[in-house]
Amino acid sequence: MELATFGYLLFLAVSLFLYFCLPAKFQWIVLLADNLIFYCLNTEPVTLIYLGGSVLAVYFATLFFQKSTDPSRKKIVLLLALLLCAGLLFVLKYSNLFINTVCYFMGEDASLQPVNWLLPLAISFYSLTLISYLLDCYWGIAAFQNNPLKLFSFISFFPLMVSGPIQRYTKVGEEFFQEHRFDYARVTGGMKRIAWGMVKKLAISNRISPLVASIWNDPASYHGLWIWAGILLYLLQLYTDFSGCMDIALGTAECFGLTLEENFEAPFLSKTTQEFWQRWHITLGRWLRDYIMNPLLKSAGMQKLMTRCVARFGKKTGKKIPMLLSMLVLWLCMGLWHGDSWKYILGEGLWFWLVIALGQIFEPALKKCKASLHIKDQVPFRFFQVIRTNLIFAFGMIFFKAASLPDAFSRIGAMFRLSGNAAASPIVKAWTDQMGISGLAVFFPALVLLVVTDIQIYRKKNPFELLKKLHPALRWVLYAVLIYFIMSSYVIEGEGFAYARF
Amino acid sequence: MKKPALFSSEKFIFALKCLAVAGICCVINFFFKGDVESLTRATLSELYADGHQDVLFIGASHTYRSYDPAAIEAATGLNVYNAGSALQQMQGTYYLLQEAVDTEGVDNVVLDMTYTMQLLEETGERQTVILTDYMKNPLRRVIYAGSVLGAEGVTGTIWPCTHNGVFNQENLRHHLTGDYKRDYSTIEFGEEGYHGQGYVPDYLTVPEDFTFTRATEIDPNYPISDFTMKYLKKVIAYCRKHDIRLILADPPMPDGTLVTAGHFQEYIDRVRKIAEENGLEYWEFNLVRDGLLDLDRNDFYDETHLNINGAEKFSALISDILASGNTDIFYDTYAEKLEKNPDGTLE
Amino acid sequence: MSREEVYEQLNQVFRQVFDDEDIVVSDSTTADDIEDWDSLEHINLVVAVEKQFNIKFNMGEVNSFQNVGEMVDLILQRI
Repeated sequence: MELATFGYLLFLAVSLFLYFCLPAKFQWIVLLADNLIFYCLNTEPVTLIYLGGSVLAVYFATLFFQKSTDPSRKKIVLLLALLLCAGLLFVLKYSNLFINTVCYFMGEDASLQPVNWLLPLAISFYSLTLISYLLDCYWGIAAFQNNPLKLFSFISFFPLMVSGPIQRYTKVGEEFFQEHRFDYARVTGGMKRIAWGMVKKLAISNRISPLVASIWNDPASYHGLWIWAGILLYLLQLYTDFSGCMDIALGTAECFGLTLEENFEAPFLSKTTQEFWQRWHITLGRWLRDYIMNPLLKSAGMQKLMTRCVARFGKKTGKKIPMLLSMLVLWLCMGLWHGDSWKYILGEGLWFWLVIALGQIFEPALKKCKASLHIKDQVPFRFFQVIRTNLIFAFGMIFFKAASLPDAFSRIGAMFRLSGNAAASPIVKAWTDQMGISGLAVFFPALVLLVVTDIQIYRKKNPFELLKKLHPALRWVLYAVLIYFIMSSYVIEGEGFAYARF
Repeated sequence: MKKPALFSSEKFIFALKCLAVAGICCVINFFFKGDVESLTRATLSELYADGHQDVLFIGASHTYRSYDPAAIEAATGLNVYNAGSALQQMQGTYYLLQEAVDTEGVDNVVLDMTYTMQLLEETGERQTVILTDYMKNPLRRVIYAGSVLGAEGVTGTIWPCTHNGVFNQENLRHHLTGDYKRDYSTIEFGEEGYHGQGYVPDYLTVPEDFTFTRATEIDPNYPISDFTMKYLKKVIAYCRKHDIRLILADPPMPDGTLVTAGHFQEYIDRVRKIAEENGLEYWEFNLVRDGLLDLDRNDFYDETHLNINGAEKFSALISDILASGNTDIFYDTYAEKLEKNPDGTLE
Repeated sequence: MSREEVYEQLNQVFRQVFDDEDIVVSDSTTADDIEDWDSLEHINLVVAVEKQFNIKFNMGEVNSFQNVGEMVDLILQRI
């Protein structure tokens, strides 16, 4: 059952009806049932054993935390539970990385074959949610959920089982099991958000994807600038796909009366790469910061290193070394999270660390440079910053979309081949011909709407509030137009959600 | 504390707004659904208007290509109809048959048993929606579409434009004027066309150098899938309940294809067994005796289907059978047929 | 130790970590109020606070401080 479908809306409508009819203490059972139905419709039910097993292990660990007073025993139980959750994630998802690396170095001698195991749904997402609950319980900042079925229904909440976002029990857990009565504002707000997510995915992402694919499938034929253009269009496709999925997920939660954490905040208006990653896939960045980087930075070993570096290189430079090192670990994990291939570690990890690290190291020099050139923080410079940030991100996304590391490098080579070869204008024409006036009349207005809403979000305003300023008749015309955008784009064969099956 | 009333004004307004949204979807659906060039639209709408059927031919493409109702009616005086649709499987047949019987009853059903369709393990999407889009009985539509496609199938019966929509000016114009409903001239594709009463012949012939090879292989141990059997049993039971004479029929296929498919005799034996167990007739037109049906390369347009020439010859034979009631026109085995009456497609 | 006394020492820690003699923090001070207080400096700050008051925070507490007031509450509990 795909998220951006009418079938899903029907499923949601029936669920909401049951949910609001039931008394408070049974409402979560509707969610549990929904989660199981959604899970079984989207993957092999037998893989529930991984999810169920991990949840049970964490459940028993947290029971132990409550009963035991021995800190060293608690630590052992924590490590065992962590080992199970993270271990399952590593074995199921990263075995091929290990196997392929070994084969690469050992050549023909290695008799290892890549595996093709059935993965549970959203393992990369739910594992992190579960580990955060486990650790937060261990650290005493999360309330314990002593009903294993309730814990299971929180971890496996169906709209999050495609592409997240990664939730924290400390932020949403309690709210999950409170009473939720029908709230007109929340349900209508949620539905509007779901519709907007469908517009993004269907009317923008699915419509641009054939053009992206045409350029991507034939890099040898085109001039470097066209390949850059293709990658930038891919950013549009990926962003509307992923954030559209998030809108549907968060809109669904809103209907049930649950406010989940956002995953995007207008990232493409960011001035720096660091800011970008605070606005793109927010919940993942925060998870890595809170559970990987911060513990590492605070660890005794890293603090010792800090003292030595400060003593040797002075305060300012000395502090930077352990910080950059911890950041490196965070970014390597970020890269690794994205997939079982070195291309992710390089392109979604090392590359962005390099950009941020160099930015930090050369910060004073760059500031001097900017001052001496009399560059002020005004529109032209802002424009430059935004373009620069997006190009840096685009570069990293080549690795995301490429089939392998060698493929990524060859495409990068093609991007800098700025002489010879044709322009890609024939395929752009082919795309506009295929879309027709009716298609273009949907795509471009939707794009304009996307820019308008993202600017609102960047300014920390709720774009749906803008709607309230419109006259009701005008508002309903807009609704009709958006429904038309959705329905007219529905028949176009699109690719599945890019972050599904993660 | 007072419990909120079930119909408090907020919920009522919400329900109204939901209906408004659904209404907008219905309006968009009305103007942009892709039914102008739909063959099944024509087939089903004529079926509902055609009244009581003496004989109903029903099945997949081997049905709608092969039986010419106009010719058969002229020759026999019976009221017949061709309820064939693309890739129709036994599940679709089961529901479509009920639609026909609901209209004004059916006396005889000639059920297509072409082997290629009986192997499949589940009903596909396309063949389901082209029927449910035009079926009258709403419950039957929802059950059929829902069982094949789940929730998406159910919403697809309300708003078919989600799976067949054509969002351009021409389609909008068709729906504003309703011109396409006056006749079936929009359903002409050059190489095939709707000829009335569900008959959709193909005008082409196989090229000179064409080789007839198998469409799909027959598994001698499993010639008919359990899925097909499940719905075939339902069809048999339904016909028995409504006093309908059910005939299992297999329109002629090129010998070249059947020979390469292999194990055709095992398929015949399986269908024969079903017919005997249920007291049904079995017309296997790949076993027709010499002199009754002379087919060659010019009567087929691909490796399994009759073209318009072949369909006319075949319909003439059908007319004879229906008029005379003589069904003793088949050899016993396929080997015998190949020996005594091979068609012109064997190399 | 009283809350004011905690703040006296805390101000010193902040001034030392961020190299700014003018910093004065209160219950409602957050990371947004101090220019260099990002996620990396947050840990340095916490470690410095731990050293100053001879206490230990666990990672969960470190991750969930919303403002200086919450940190002070925890300091008062621990000393």
